[in-house]
Amino acid sequence: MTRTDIIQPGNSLKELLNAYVMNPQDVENNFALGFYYDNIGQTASALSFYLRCAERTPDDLLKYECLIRGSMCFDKQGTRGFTVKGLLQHAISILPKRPEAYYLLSRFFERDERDGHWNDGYMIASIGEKVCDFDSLPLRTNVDYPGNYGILYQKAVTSWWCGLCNESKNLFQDLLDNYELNEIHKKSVIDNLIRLNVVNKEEPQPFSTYCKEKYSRLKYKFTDSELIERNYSEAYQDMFVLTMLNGKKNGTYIEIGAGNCFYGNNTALLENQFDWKGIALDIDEKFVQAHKNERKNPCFLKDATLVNYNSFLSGLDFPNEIDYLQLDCDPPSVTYDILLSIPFETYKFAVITYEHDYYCDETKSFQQKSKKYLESYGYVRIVNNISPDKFRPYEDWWVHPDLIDNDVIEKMTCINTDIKKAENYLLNNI
Amino acid sequence: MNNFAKLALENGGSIHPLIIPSKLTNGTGLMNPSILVDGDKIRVIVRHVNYTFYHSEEKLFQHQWGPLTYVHPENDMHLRTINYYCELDENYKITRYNKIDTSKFPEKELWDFVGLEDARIFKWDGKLYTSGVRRDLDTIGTGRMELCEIIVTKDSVKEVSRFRIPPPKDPNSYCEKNWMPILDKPYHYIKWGNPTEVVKVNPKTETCETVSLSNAIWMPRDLRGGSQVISAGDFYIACTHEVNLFKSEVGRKDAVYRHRFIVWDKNFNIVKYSKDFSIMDGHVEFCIGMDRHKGNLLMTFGFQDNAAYVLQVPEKIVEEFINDKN
Repeated sequence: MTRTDIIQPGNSLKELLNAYVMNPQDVENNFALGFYYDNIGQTASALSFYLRCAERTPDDLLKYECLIRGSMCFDKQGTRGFTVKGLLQHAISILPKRPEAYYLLSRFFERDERDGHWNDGYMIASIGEKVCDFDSLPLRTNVDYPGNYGILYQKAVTSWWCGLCNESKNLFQDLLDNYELNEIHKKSVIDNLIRLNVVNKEEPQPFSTYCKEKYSRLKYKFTDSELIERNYSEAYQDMFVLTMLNGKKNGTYIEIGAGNCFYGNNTALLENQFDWKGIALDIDEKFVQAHKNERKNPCFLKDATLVNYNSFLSGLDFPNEIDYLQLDCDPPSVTYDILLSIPFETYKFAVITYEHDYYCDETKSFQQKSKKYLESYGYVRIVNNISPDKFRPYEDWWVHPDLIDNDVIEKMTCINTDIKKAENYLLNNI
Repeated sequence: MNNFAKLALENGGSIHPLIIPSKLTNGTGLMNPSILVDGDKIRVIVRHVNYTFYHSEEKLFQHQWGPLTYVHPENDMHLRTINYYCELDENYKITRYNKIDTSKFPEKELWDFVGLEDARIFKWDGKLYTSGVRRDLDTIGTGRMELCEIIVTKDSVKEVSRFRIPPPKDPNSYCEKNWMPILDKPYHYIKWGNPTEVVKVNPKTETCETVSLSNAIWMPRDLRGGSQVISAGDFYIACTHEVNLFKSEVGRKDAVYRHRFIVWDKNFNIVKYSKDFSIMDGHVEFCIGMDRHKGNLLMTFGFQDNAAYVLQVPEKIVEEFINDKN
């Protein structure tokens, strides 16, 4: 019987029990019976068979998993922390380079209500971080280990409780920027960053931003880039626009799907520091109202899918060559519909940032459709699969070659299948 | 014999889990069931405890407190027992379960072990009883067998009377437990296996007396009580247990339990006994229930204090096993 056979949900308890009785020393029979009992909440029964398996198998990995599962049984029963801890300690002793038991033990200490156990949690996470082989093959069952970021997450949480606040902030930021977190951990990381004042509560999606300290790393130092204190975009869109236009002053923009007027906004920097003029559209009244209160350029409350852009733009005396078009609505089908309604025969845009949301586009079609459409109007894609982190390709960035310096196009073009974290695209590595 | 269940399965027997849903038990131990075939009903008592028995049989992954540990809630030192009354269908699946309502006799909880432990089920004079040991009535854990009448209705099972049985001889004995009710002799128990001591209790007068005491025969260990005692022709039969209690290398408690079928004549002289055996290869198992059903013997037992089972074994196999001295 193979490992996968043994944990098939189709096996009834009766069948597993019969197999066990015919060979009660067989470790797989013991594990299977334990796992079945475990899954129906009979954790005491499960514990007996996990322990028997752990003590009879020559396979250290199976011993390790049985001991962890045993600890989980006691954890489910509650108020048996001493035993939970002991079994995890046994597991670590068996395979000290595996990460799961360190993660669970650190979490155990973190959740322990007695003061001072955060130090234990931090210590265990720190040891785990240093000694574990994070490329280990996964265990045969889910032991509540979230993956390779788990130990860092524990270190981030416990370091704060230990008073190591800067370390905690940096770890949480690192987790957000560089790891594919599950939804629970992602929410927790963001909540912690808010609590630690790394991000504003009103601006709940933290992301990597540009600041003056990063100037030396700018790949293309456009005019006046040294004067920029910070940017606002979610994924460096504002810095990209200025890069392609060499820090142009008094430019023009159309911002479709404006969102917050500063946080994650692509035109705030252009307007405030480079004196651009332009208009924004949004369907959300609160964004529009805030924009009107806090920005110089206008924002219109409109459903962008219903606008006749020819008449709308001509009524606003826009020139035929516009420096920047932002297309950022949800879902991707809506953004694409708006793209089709833009009068490209009349207006030419130097730079376009187009959000196709490939990572969450169930049809996986809108990136390709938008590419075909923009190319038909002579636009050139400079970079594809842009992401605020390493995991969510959501925009392609385009230019019209008639309006952008060829040297810049050559220098900034990066088209391949990789997901490109925006910061890494525009900045050199440390 | 380390696996009596295998012998049963290889010869037409079967084994069946007894499970009370974990939402009622928090997943902690279900153990030491007792069984009674009562006309067309198969009645079972399943003992649920609030602890999980941690037993490092091979001593490789011992608990911090030793190889054999009762892991109870850290905020409650008591080892609590709750009994569930169940009925089984012909396939030995549970068709109903009810927590036995003991509210007529509020717990005192004066000692660590709370509740009626290892309750055997049987019927005497048309009344349904459970009988086990209770140790929570004083602060030193004095154990006495109790005889408790239960009334089963459609929706509930209630304990309606409780008789705490005095020891027949030494009123100061510390712990009386595992007395084996004789199914066809109302109010009689085998109190001890070897020498076999039979006692008769009288709930009305609240007395208990020894009615027979056989001569001891040589056996390797004490014969402790187990299942009920059932009649088989001119004989009686029961499943008893023996305990090898010992200390681990670092002086911590450990134990191995073994079982044995004992056959008595009608005067309760031991006439035969089987080899000792384990039922399912566990170091700690306990059979406290046995009855006959359609040519089979039904044995109910707890495995490592954490799981409960019914083993169906053809009577013929049991007979051969008892007669097999190899």
